[in-house]
Amino acid sequence: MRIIDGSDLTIVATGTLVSRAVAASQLLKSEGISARVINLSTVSPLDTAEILAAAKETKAIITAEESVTRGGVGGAIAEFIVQNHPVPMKLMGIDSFAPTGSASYLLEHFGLTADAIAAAARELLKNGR
Amino acid sequence: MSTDKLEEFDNRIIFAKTLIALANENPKIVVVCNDSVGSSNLGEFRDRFPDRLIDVGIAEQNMVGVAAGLANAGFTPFVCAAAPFLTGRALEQIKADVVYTRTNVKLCGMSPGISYGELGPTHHSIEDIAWMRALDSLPIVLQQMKHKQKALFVGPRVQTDLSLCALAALKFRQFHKARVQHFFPIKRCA
Repeated sequence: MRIIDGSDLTIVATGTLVSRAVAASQLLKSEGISARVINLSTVSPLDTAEILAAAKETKAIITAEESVTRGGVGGAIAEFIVQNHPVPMKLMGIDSFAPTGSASYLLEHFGLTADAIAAAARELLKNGR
Repeated sequence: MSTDKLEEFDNRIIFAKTLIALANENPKIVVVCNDSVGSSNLGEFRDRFPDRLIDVGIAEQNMVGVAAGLANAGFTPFVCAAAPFLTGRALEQIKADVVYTRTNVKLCGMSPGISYGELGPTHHSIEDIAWMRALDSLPIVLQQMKHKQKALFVGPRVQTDLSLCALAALKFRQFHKARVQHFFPIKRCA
């Protein structure tokens, strides 16, 4: 479900990362970057029409999830994108066993914040990775 | 970011309310859990339907097997357990007893992701989506915003014949004023 429309890049987020993606989009908007935000309801089946539209209508895709990106939401979208309409992507999630700490601490620890998503968006649009 | 658009909520509260509403309508709905009445917020369900909640104890593989048996006998079991143990410990039973055999079991993984932060990596459930995605044609529903969470269970288009529902125990800030929209259909109704 598209909750914010945008034309420069797309942020696909799930669960706890949706509100952070929305905040990132608002940050980027103040800089003149138009970031679409999609709240992913299901990873299987994947909403391929919405993902394909993101690839065709915006320049890059960021995925943000509270799980490993290998085989996770990021992996699922990358599998589809690479075979249908490749665009630069950044997969944000958890890349190792997490340390012990509060959930909010861990989200910060793995860079799953609005600021970090916005930074990744700037980098992706600038360098294509 | 303005805070007036945000609120905190616990997905399990909506889950429990919705499950009770469904059970009121459908006498075939039962719950199977693993000493998880508290962590899955099943106390009210147990009190209302004491003969429709089966607590197998801390025995995840048995939990999924029992649920598959109940489904084959005509019931609609909702397996409610912490996501890391449901998906990790009972993976083979999910694969063989539920997915391969197309058995109508609803797998509801509570506290996914890093909801169990302080309990450490044994309790974190960061691999669950990857593990479940590897299983053929298993619909995987992700934790949702408040309004959509309910729609996922009660909407006619979303009662899947097989589904893993990842639910958050964590109370988190969430975007409040999002529009509730239709989304694409997932398989047939239960």
